[in-house]
Amino acid sequence: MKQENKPNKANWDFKQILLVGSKLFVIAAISATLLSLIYAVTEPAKQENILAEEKETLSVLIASGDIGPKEAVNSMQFKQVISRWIVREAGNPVAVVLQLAGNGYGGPLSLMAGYKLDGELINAKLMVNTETPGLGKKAETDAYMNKFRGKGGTGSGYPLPVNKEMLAEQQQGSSAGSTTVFQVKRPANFAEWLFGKPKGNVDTVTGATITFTAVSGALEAGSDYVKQTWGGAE
Amino acid sequence: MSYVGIIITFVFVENFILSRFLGLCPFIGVSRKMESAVGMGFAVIFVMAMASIITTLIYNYLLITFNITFLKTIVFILVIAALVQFVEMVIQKNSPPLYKALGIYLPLITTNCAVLGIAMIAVEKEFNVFESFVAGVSAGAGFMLSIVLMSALREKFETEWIPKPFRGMPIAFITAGLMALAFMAFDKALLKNLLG
Amino acid sequence: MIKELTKGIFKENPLFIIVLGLCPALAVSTEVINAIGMGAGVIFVLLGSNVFISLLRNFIPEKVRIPCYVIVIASFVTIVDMVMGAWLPVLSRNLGIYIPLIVVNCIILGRAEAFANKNTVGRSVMDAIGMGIGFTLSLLLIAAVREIFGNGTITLFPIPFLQFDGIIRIPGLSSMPARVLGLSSGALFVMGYFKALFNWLEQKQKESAANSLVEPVIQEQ
Repeated sequence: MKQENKPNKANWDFKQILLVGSKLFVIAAISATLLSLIYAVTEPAKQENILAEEKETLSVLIASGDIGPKEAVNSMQFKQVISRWIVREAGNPVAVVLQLAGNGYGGPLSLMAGYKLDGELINAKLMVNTETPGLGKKAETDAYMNKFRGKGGTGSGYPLPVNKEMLAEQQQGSSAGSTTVFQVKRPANFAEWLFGKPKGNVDTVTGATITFTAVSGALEAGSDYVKQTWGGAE
Repeated sequence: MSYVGIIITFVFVENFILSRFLGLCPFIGVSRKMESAVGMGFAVIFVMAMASIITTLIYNYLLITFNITFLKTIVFILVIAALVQFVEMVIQKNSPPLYKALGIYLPLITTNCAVLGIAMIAVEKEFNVFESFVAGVSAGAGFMLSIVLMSALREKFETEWIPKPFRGMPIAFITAGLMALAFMAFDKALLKNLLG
Repeated sequence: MIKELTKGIFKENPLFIIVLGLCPALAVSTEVINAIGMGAGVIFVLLGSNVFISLLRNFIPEKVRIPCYVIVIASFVTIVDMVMGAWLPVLSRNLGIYIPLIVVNCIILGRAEAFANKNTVGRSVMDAIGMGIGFTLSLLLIAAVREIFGNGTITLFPIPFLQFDGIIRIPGLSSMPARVLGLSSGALFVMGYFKALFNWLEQKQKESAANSLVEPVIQEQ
């Protein structure tokens, strides 16, 4: 080991270090330049995509009314509320769409949620999340938000469910109960077994409870924010 | 997230190997003997702790300041490679016994996804430097926990009969799968019950 | 030339025979589309880095060759990351941190060190394509097994004008899938059984090769 090291060290004279260093620098510089060029092209496209997605989601969440411009929200009390769009009908605000942030299983997630002015959730959509693929991904599907829709308002019957017990209670309470959320439902007959759509809830199996916690927490904060901002005025 | 939350998350809930598959190559490769598993575990904890501090510092104070966050992959991997090299040199010079114990594992760590993984996760979760350090140490501890458990199991396999095609790696994968199933008991509900 | 292309697919299959690049492979194999995306990313990076390293093999100093390779590889990975983020946002979101982690995928550095720095550009291209396709096919195999049996679906890309939402539902499986295959433990099980299958195939091949050593004497007549 020692004998091998010594002649090696002797070879490292100043000139050689300079040569090797400059070559390394050239490669690094070229790649950094190249990357910033590509970045200059891809970044605007990425931003444009995000804007387009926001616009599309707005139109899905709010069926009627004029959607105002995006406004940033800096609330000390409701840190989860990032920005808002006020929806007006004949000049009067009727609803509001909030951009909400929550903390999911695999990192921050971002939601867009439309509320009536009494805090009732109209609809919500999960925008960005970095959940582990497969786990907790369900939250992106439309049906997932069903359990939150129409809840949380001062006028409506149910508060927003913030834990699974509350949700199970509400499921039992509403006799309409379209799909059972917390049991893997066995197919009733052969035809259903053959052609039925996926049932049961990945959440219960994967234990990706945090997605639910993050989503419901953010939605609840949004509802409270709406109540505090507009609740008195109505 | 509180510090206790970070620790439990990274050691158990999001165990780097069993739930995120980060660092699976050394996990399968170096888990035949308990002794080497322990050595590898300590080396990973050490490097991950250092790497998470340094990469977070660089990201928060350099890349963000100069608005070049898109270079993070290159910067992180170079920093990690340099760090491993540096740590190896320092240990070799100052503590030959430690070098003897960890030395052979250190070069393997540069290409260990777990180290770059923790740097990326710290960025993604917007950790500050101390949070990132805690996360690094706990993720390393989670890695060590699973690799040591695995090596204990694999030492037992040597005395058991296993069908020929399953010997070596396949049985290791299947065992890891069963361990992952057991680790699913640690979910966020546990965190919530513990910490409220 | 052709041999360089085909060896990656079976004989030196990066995932099942050499067992490299495990973490991205297992983590993203929950859906077929993710496997396709990851495979495409790896092929691009492998191709780019093999070509560049092969071109620069006389320029790169021996002593700092690994850092140079890492810079080249990381550049291509960043390109993939940025391009996917801009034009394939859903895929980019699904793959998450596993895209930047292609950098530490041992297959790529391994090919750079073992092949590209010793061979001409043409051969390196063939090697990259072969290895990349081998990796993608094995990844697809794992993802297909996991998604078909674990969720009863095959997720591809949506084609709007055919009214196809991108998800094929398998009759009989989509109503009662074996959910465990979709979880992290399922990935490890599938990988274990596939590795065992490949071990068995290799063993068989060796046995028949040993047998055929005796036979050529007869054939030569």
